[in-house]
Amino acid sequence: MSSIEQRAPQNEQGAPASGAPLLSYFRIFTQALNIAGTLLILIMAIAVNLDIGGRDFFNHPIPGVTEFIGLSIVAVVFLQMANTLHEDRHVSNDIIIRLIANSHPRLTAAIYAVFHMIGAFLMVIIVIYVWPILVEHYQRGYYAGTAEVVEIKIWPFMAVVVIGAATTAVQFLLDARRMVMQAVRRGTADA
Amino acid sequence: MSDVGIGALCFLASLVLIQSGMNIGVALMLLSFVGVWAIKSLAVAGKLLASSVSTSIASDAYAVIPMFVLMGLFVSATNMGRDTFDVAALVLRRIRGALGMATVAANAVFAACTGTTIASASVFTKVAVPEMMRHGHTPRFSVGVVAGSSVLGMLIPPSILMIIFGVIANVSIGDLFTSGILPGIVLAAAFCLTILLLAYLRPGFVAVDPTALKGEYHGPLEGASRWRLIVKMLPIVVLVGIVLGGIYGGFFTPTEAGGAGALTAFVIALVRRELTLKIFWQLALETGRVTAAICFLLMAAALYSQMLTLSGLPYTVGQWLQQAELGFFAILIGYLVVLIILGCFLDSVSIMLIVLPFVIPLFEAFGTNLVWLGLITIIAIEIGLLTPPLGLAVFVVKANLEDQRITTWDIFMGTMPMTITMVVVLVICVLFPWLSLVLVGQKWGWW
Repeated sequence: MSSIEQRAPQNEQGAPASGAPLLSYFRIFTQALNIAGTLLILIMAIAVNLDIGGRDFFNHPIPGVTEFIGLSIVAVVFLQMANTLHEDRHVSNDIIIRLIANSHPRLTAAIYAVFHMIGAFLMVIIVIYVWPILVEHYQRGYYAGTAEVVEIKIWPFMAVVVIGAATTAVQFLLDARRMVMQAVRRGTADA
Repeated sequence: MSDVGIGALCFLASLVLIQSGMNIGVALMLLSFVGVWAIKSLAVAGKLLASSVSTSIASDAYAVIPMFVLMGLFVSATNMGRDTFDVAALVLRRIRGALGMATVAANAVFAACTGTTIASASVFTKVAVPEMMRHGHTPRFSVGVVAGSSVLGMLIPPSILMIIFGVIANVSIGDLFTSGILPGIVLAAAFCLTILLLAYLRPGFVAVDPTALKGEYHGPLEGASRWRLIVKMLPIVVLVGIVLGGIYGGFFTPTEAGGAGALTAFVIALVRRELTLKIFWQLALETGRVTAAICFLLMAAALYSQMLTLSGLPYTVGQWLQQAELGFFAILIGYLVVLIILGCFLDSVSIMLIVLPFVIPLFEAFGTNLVWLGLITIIAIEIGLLTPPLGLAVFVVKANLEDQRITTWDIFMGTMPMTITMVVVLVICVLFPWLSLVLVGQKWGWW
C-alpha cells in the first residue's frame, strides 16, 4: 500500500512510445494470468463443494479433488503474483517510508527502485531453481493422486510457477524503471 | 561467522528491511536464501528456495485461505452486517449504551463469517458509526467501539491469523478455530460490560446528548414484528451454523467449511439480489490478490524458518534462556510483551512470520499446548492493531469514515477503553487455558 505508487499512475500511460506496444502486450498477458488465477479459485470452490456433496449425499467423494486443490493453490499464487504486484497489494510496512515520501520524494523513489530490483532478482532466482524441477517432473511424468484412478500431472503446475515468477520479475523491473525515472527527473518531483 | 551469528544477522536484517517498507515476502525470502547459502551452500539454498515456492504450500489445507476470503467478501458485499446491527440495536434498546453493545454483538456475529479484522472494521465503520452519531453518541466513542470490536474478526473463527499460526506452528487449524469461540464470546461480553460501565460512570465520554443513553432507538426496524427480525437474521445464522457447526461438529475440514461457506454466502447474496456479475467478478479478483499476497508470505516463512533451524539460532536462544533459569511464566510474559510492542510497529502477519519460527521450538520444549499459545498470541498481536503509532484497525476505520473531522487520534483515544479490556481478557486467557481448550477437548495447564 505504498502511497507513492498510487500517486503516480500517470507515469504508466506516459511511458516512452518506443516500448509502448510491447508494454501493452505484457499488460494483456498479466491480465490473462490474473483471469486464469481467478477462474482457478472459482473452480477450486466448486470442486470442494462437489466433493462435499458427493461424499455426503452419494457416499462417494470425488477422487483427486484434494490433490488438485493442493496443487492449484500454488498455481493461483503465481498466476496472481504479477497482478497483485501491479495493483500494489503485496504486504509491506510503509509507515516510515511514507514519512519521508513528502519531504524527499526522489529519495523515496530511489529506495523503491532498489526494492523493486531486488524483487526482480529474487524472481529470477526462483525461475532458475524451479526450472530443473519442472524439467524433471515433465520428463518423468510425476503425478499426484492414486495410480490408475486419478493421475494429476504435476508439471503444468510447476510450469505456472516458472511463468508466474518470470512475469513478476518483468513487472518488478517495469516498476523499478518507473521509480528510477521519478528519482532522476528534475524539478517536477517536488510537485 | 558462526551459523548462529548468520541466523541472528538475518533476523535483524529482516526486521530492518521490513520496517523500511520492502515487500515483506521478498525481504524474508531473499534473506533466508542468502542465509542458507552462507550456512550451507548455494546448491542447498537453491533447492530449499525452489521447494518453498513449489511444494511448501501445495496442500489442500492451504486452500482454506481463498475459500474463507471469498466467503468473507461475499458477506461484506451484502447488507448482512447492517441487518445484524439493526436487529441487535432493536433487541438491546432498553439497556444503557445499547448501540455500542449492538455494534459489539453484530461484530461478533459478523466475525463468524469473515476472517479479518479489516473486513469487520470497514463494514461497521459504514454501518454503525453514522447510526451511533445520529443517536447522539460522541464521535470518539462511536469510532472507538467499532475499531475495538473489529478485533473480534480475528478471534472468532474463521480467522486468517489462526490459519497462518496453524501453518507456521504445524497445529490443526480446525482446533485453533474451535479454541477461539469461547474467548471470542468472553471478549465480546467484556466489551459490552465496558460499554455499560462507561455509559453509567462516564456518560460524557459516550454521548454528547444524555438522551442517547436512555435507550430511545429510531432505526429502520423500529416497531418491526418478531417475524421480521427472525427473517432478517436467518441468512447469517444459517451461514454461521454451516461454518462453525461444520467444523466443530467434525463434518468439515476447515477448507471444506470455507468452500461450503463461500457457496452459502454466494447463494444468500444472489437471493437477496445484492450480487451483480460485475461485483461477483471483482470479488473473485480480490480473492485472488489476497490469496497471492498471503500465500507468498507463507512460502517466504517456510524458507525463513528452515534457515533459522539450520542456523541453530532458536536452539541457542533456548539454551541461553534455560541457563538464565527464567521460568516458563517469565518467558511467557516476555513473549507477550514483545508481541504487543512489535504490534505497535509491524502488521500482525509479519509479526507471526518473524517471531513464530523462533518461539515455537522454545515453547514446545516446555511442553506448551500450542493451540492455547496460538490463541493468546493472536490476542496479544491484535492489541497492537489498536495501539499507536501503527494501529491497523484504526487506520481502516479512518479510511472508511465519511466524517473526515474525526482524526486518527480521536479513534485511538476512543479505542482506549476497548484496548484495556483486551489486555484484561488476554490475562484471563493466559491464566485459564481451560477457556481456550475445553471446546477442543484438550486438557492442559501451565501451573
